[in-house]
Amino acid sequence: MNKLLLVLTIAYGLLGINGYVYAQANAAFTLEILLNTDGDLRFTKETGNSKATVNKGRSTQNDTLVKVFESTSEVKVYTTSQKNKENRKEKHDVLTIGIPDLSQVSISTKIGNINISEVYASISGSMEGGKLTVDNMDGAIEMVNELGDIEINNSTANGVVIARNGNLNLKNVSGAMASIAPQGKITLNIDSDFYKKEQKKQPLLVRLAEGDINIKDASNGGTVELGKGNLTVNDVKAPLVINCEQSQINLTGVESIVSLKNKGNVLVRLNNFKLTGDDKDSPPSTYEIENGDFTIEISLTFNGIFELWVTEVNPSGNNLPILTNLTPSLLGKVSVIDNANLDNTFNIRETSYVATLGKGGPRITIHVTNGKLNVKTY
Amino acid sequence: MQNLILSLLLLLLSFFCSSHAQTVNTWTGNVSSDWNNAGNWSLSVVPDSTHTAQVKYLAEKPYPVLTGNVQIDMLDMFNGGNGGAVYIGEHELKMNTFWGSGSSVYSQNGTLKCKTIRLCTGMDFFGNLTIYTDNGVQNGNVYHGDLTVHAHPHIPTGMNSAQCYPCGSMMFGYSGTDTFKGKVLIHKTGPGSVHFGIFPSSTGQIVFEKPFTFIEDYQGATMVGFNAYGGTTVFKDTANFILNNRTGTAYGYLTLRSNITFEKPVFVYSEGMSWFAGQGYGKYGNNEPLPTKTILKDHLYFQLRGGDIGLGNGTGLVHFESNVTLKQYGEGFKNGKITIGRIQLDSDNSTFEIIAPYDPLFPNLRSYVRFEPGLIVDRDIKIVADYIELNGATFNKSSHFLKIGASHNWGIAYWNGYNHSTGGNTFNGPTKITNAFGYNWKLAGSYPDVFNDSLILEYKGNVNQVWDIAASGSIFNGPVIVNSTNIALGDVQFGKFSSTNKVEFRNDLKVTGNGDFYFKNTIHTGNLKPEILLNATGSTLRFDSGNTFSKGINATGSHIYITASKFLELSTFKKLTSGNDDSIGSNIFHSQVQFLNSAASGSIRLLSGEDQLIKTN
Repeated sequence: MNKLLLVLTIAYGLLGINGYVYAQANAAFTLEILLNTDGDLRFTKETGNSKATVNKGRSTQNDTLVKVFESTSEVKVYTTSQKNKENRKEKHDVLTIGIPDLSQVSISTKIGNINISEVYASISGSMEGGKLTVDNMDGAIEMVNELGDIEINNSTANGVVIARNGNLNLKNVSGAMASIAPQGKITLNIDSDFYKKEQKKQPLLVRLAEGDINIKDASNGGTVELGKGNLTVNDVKAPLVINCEQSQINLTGVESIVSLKNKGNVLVRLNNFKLTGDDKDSPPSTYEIENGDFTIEISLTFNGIFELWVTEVNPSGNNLPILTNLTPSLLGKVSVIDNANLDNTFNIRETSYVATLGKGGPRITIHVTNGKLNVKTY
Repeated sequence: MQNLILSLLLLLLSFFCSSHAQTVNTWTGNVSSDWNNAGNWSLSVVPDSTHTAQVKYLAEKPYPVLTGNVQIDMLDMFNGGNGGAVYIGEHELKMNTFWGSGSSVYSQNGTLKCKTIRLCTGMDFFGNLTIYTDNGVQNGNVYHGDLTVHAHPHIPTGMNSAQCYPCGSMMFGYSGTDTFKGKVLIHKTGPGSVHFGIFPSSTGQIVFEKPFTFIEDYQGATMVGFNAYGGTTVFKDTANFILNNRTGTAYGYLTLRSNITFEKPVFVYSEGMSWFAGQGYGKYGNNEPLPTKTILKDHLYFQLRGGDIGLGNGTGLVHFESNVTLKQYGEGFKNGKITIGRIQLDSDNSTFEIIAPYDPLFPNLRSYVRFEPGLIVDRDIKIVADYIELNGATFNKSSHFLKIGASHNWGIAYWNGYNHSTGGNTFNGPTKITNAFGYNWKLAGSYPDVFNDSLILEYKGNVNQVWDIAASGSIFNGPVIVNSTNIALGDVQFGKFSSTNKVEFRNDLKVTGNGDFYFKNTIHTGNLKPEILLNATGSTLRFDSGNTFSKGINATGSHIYITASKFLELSTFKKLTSGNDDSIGSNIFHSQVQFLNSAASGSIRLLSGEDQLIKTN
């Protein structure tokens, strides 16, 4: 090890140090965090200062490990790995940093949890492990977690979050956020209080390639697209479009027009519709299901027109694929048509009913291909 | 067996057709060939709008010839035997239902108007003919002249689904055996479906020998399909698809499945409807996707003002033979997207191009090209579009990708962001990637890309956003040249999300131009020292943690920040602009490092005090 180590104050000599210059009027406050030690990190909202405050109440031991460089426009927080030094600490205590509004924050950390709460900022960076939790954030976020999970709650943020080897849980999140979990699972929950915040009155627009989506309140309708996974939606009170590829779907409290496509099982519980204004001239609800069973539950007092239609390929036996506990007279006469090809190797059976329930009303068309259609009362 | 099938089809259709008591008036031909001579009919009256005119083969009797326009309830050339014929000449034969089998219709630019073609099978249609119809089934027929069909398929009362077939549909080649010897024009105005070759027999084939044109003029959910469950369709002359439906790609689509061959150019115009070729399909009773192929022996021309062209999906493949490519015509690629899922490009010296130039007259229109996992491109390729996604494809020859679109702002949670690339691509030829307007774009968002030949990266425009290159790591085996002329000084970032996946530059790196450049977890092992020369005031060069430069670096910028990086040979950093550039530092410099400062004031400052200069001999 014929090496000479010099602390790089020599470099300053080459440059000629002119002293610190702090003036950067109107520039966003910046915070740079480079933690080469493991440990947790917390971001909170800083209201008392115009610049970030670091580690209030941190321990003496932490003082020796965590270095803070401050100016009026920026703060840099830094730890050094102590692995090559005897009796030195390798893990920092919990670092708590207050973030002024509109700050630009860059993060690079080792193993440790990061908790971001009540922050209005732009945050980007990476963490090697631990859990990233974001609560009540506004702004922008670009974060990758190499090993752990990411959880974002009650936030409005643009950007991208990547849980490269973990799971990604989103709850009441809005904004143009790309959510990527190549090895894990993505879960999106929209709670009933999602719409209580201002500027969230717009219809839902959710797209997810794979994962679980749980929407407890779809009062404003919208569009939901899911590739594979489970989709649960409650309280559909405005027109809702659902396009799924291979999902399991459960809709309850449906009081408005739904256009649904899926390959997989679907359960729908209908209330009497409450169509208003332009909705009354809207097209009928259409449910198009392939390779799955469709169950629709209605109240005994439901008013509407059902068009029930099942296509079966090579059905075995003559059992009707449309099951119901409704009084037979409500459904009327069933139509069953068999179609076979020239060499009789396949038969396509079309079974259909058209039924007006109660006073009639909204038209609901259901077409199931290769599955059962079950109409039940609740 | 055939009679059984026909009966079943009839049963099926009769379910959807209204039925009422009919008066059958049978052609006798006892007097002459004149349709309008009452003596030629069994009821001794000329058929009227309540009559079923039944026409069948009669030995040594003439067939009926129209001498003027005629209206009846039904023309029945099915019951009573095959071999009947009707000469309509240039006249119009109007009816509610046309029912024919093994018979002939002779036309000289005449017209058949019928609400329903109840079943038309084994027929010959001679001469140029126009048909107006709503629904029906045609199968095993030969159209010898030019055929124009004005189809208004719609759902009969009681059913309401655009995908309802046979009800509400117009079907040709039900078992895939229609032959069209003349020009064909299908003009669709109704919400129901039009299908060609629904349930073809194993040898079923639909052949269009002359130009084929399909026009979709219905506005609403609808579907058009070719060969849904097998069989073959061959277009021997040009095929022209004019899709004026603007309802949306999720609700209006034309799908080519099974085996389709276009021997002459194909033209696709879409206002908002999808045109999908090479789509995999599942055999009835078995959901396992079967291989399917759309073969293009001549160019595919497209003009998109919306909608979606999909080429290959799942087990489906679109095969471009040698010297066949995508071309634009008319206004070209104005809006919509082209999804390239699975294509085969036979090798040649041409360039596979998709060009969607930015047009300030249509600032809100967006074009979108996506390459799907597993796609192998064996031809030079050039793509110009608002959004380009590179998601796991292999490009074996030269590639040029030019992104011109603004940032997307869709949804509350979505994959890739309709803008970013997942990565996992391999580029085996020289590659050029241009971010033309400086908007956000991520390459290798989830997986590393591998570039095995030279790479040129151009960052242009006047928007101060971020271009993430090698966001989740990448390997650059060839030389890399990066040039930014972005006058807004946008960010070019390497390895932003690559804390474990490294960004490996195994060859030369040269960076010139404006803007902010960011390196994180990059490893440089090329034989030449990387050169970075940023010449605009305010251009910032930032080395974040985890960089290793085995040959050192020559770096010039307005501001320079260096943190937690290693420089294993002589390195030079030149600062141009006033102001202190405060870095955390904690770098390791081997051999020698030079910091040059031509700014009027300010310094490069490495704050941690933990930087090391290691002298090596």
